[in-house]
Amino acid sequence: MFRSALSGGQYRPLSDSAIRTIHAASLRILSETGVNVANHEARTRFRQAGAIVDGERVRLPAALVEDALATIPHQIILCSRDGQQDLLLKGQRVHFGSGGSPGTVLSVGTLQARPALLRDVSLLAILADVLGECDFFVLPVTPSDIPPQAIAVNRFYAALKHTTKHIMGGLISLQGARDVFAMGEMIAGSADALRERPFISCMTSWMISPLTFDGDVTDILTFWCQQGMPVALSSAPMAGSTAPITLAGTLVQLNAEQLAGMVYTQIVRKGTPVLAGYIPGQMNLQTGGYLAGTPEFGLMQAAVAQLAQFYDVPLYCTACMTDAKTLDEQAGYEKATTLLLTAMAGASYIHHALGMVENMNAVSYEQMALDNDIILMVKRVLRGIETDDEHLAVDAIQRVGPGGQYMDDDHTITHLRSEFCFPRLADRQSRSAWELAGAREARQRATDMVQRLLAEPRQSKLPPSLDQAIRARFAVHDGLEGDE
Amino acid sequence: MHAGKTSGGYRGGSFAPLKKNEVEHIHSVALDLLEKEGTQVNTLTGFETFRAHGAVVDESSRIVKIPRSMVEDAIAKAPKRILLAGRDEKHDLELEGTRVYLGTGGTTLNVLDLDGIWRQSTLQDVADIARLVDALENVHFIVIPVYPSELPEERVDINRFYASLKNCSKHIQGGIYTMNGIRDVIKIGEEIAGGAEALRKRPIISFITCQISPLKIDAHYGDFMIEICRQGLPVSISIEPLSGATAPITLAGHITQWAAEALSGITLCQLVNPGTPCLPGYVGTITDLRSMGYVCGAVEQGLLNAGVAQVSHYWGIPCYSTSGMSDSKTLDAQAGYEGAMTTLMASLAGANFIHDAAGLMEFAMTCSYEKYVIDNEIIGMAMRAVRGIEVNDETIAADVIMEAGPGGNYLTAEHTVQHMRGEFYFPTLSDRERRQEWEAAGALTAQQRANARARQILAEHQPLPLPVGAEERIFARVPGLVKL
Repeated sequence: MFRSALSGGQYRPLSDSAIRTIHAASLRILSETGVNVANHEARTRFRQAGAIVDGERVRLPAALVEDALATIPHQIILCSRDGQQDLLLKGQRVHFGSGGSPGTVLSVGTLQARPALLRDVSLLAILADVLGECDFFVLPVTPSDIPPQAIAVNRFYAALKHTTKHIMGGLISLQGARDVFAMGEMIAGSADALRERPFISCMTSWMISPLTFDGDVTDILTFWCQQGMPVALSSAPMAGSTAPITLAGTLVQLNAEQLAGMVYTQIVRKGTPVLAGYIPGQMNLQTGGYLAGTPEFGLMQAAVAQLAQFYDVPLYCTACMTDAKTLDEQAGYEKATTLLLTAMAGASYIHHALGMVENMNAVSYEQMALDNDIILMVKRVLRGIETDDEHLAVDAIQRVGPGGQYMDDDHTITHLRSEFCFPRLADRQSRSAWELAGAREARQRATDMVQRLLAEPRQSKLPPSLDQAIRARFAVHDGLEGDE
Repeated sequence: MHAGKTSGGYRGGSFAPLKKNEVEHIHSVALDLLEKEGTQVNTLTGFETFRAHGAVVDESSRIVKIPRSMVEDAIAKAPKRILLAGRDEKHDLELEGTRVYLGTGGTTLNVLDLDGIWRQSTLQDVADIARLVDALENVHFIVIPVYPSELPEERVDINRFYASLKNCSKHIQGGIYTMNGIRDVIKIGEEIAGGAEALRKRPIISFITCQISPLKIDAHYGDFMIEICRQGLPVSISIEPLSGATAPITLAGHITQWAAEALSGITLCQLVNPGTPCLPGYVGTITDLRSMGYVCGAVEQGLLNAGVAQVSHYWGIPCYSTSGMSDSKTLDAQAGYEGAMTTLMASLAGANFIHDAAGLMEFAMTCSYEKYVIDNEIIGMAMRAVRGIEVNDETIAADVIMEAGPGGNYLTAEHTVQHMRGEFYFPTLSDRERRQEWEAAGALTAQQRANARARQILAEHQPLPLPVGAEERIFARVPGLVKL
């Protein structure tokens, strides 16, 4: 059963002709300039497929791009383990989930920054599992208490134990990819069963902008494609440093990078389910760092949703971001701005949408709860304005008449629960009632909610025998052993 | 953007929640409602005006049924382009098509001042807020925000307008409380503009009157509307349907009723004085059905304003809209995301004169000095989104990308230097530092930084002085003004 998803597309920052202009410029760059591919195996694959290889430089004729677009799937199902929450990525259907993965979390209550632990992966998975607007779980933090080579498998294990929603994560190393796939295989029963219902997937930052394949990550990408598992490509050129400073220029380069990635995945295995992973970024002109809570960032995410729709490929992108260090009004307006732009354009799979603060440098439990409300509101926008006769309400307007009131009219009673959304954390009380309740800010109400949710009895999402078998094979745990 | 100008005036329209045929249908249903059901007109002059022009009227119920052709005539006569002038020409608003401007709103009885004290508002607040707004680069006009509680009603209009005009060179629009007030305020405007004709040519002031939902033109405010039209100054006709209370609960029904109401007001204005500038006005929202209370931060309000803007575009008449409010009692994350969402949606939809977008909090019952500074940022971001993504040979930068090549960088490219100032919105409030620097600077929240900026502006900013001699002439001609 699919999780319900609403469609975007009501907002279109790029005209059709602008999209064609960007497409043509990207093709020109791929055929004339090409990409650098240090990975020997990948270069060989490109050559065999008909690319023009000169040293490390690989030039891609337009025909190769066309071939890839002909075999790349137009829809992808990212499965849940309970079968109740699968995601159908297709067209302009929009989904929202967490993102990763910084090494810092803000402690519940104090909002103090501290190193993330494996137990945070588990607790954040528990929270993601119960938050109603969270469609999927991207492994949100990099734990500091786990040796690097064991991080991939431990993170996936902790998440698999605590949520049945679809889980996506980075795999860190080829060994990590093999381990995670093997663990998925054990849970699914077989490799084929896992391919049939992929409840895990990965994203790979295989591209170092501008236009350069990363040697090691390309191996991970190759392995994962060979397994026929869903993969999100991810390239994140930054306007002003690793991409042209103009938004359109960044989009052209990013589009070329994504097309090169799509070509590669289809060369490795035709029909590999790929999420185009357009992550256009913006440089902080003052510090040289990354900016995330800006209107330009949101504009570019919206534009890449249109580009992915142009190619009819599901999109992995980023929104609901902020550069604020704490959960203040800035966090509120930056997150709302970037998410609304991205979702209204119809992006398929918006990660980083729950929990991120300080651009991508920290995760906050409270912010996850607040973002759940922001997503609820954005979903209401996607639902739009229904204009059938029942919603136009001409009969009701005539019945009530000039100077009348609608409160107890049948039409009001019929629609009062369904027409509006009801955010859980928003304060809509009078000032006196709010003061009487302790004059608590949004972040404090979020703390209450998080503490309540995390205090509920925990139920492992892995059957005990399977859990034991996994732990016998892999040196994994979930970091919550000390609790209770 | 031109140097010295504000960020207003870019064209929206990239967000369109209603389809074209849906807008046409709403329009047509609204005309039917006016023709068949009619509206109540309690201003005697208005009632007689409708009768004299051939509307079907009923004395006892005061119902006026307005023929379709009369409404269509009025739409044709209403100006499609309205100049709302600033005392300083660089602040002129040219309302037409999908051009977007945002400003303050009111009228509240309370302020939250810079010492954190919540208190009754005074005339000094009118003056201080005007001066604050004068210095805020993204707040494009003033709708007079607060009520001077210390003044008797007959002195309120003249003092509100005078204090605003003196302290701010942007366009001043305000609600009015007495008929004499309208006439005296016009005298003040004439003295500053340089005469009666000069004021009509460059109206630096305009007025707000209102209609009552559902479908009622009030005696008092209807008379004001007629007087302003006779005087030939621009008037916004504020209409506030509340879903579930004074309008259908469904969004489409709500917009349909508003369309009928707005057209009745426009028709009256054009019958009174053909060609007089009038703005169909929208301040509607939903009610929270748990409390039957009025809510301002609801995301549905963004959808409603976008829909209303689309209907107004269909008529071609510039509209007066609402966004940026919040139900929060404090300047927290909720205030940020609620305000950002409605402002972004109304702006992207191309609403023309969006009021309430700066300074209001707590259901529009309180004006916050800090919030003006915060909303200035939210509006700046929204306007950057409205500006969109320019796609042309220069911005797509294909040659620049090919020159940088795989692995290259853009930091020192000529193209980067050329576009680094123009391509991005530069925040005046948002924190974009790294955590260490933010902590070293005191870990200030957006609210704390806004407080500092507001204090600085109020300590230093001097508005453009009134023309020489105007002040003396105004005091001689209009008794009852307070010298601040």
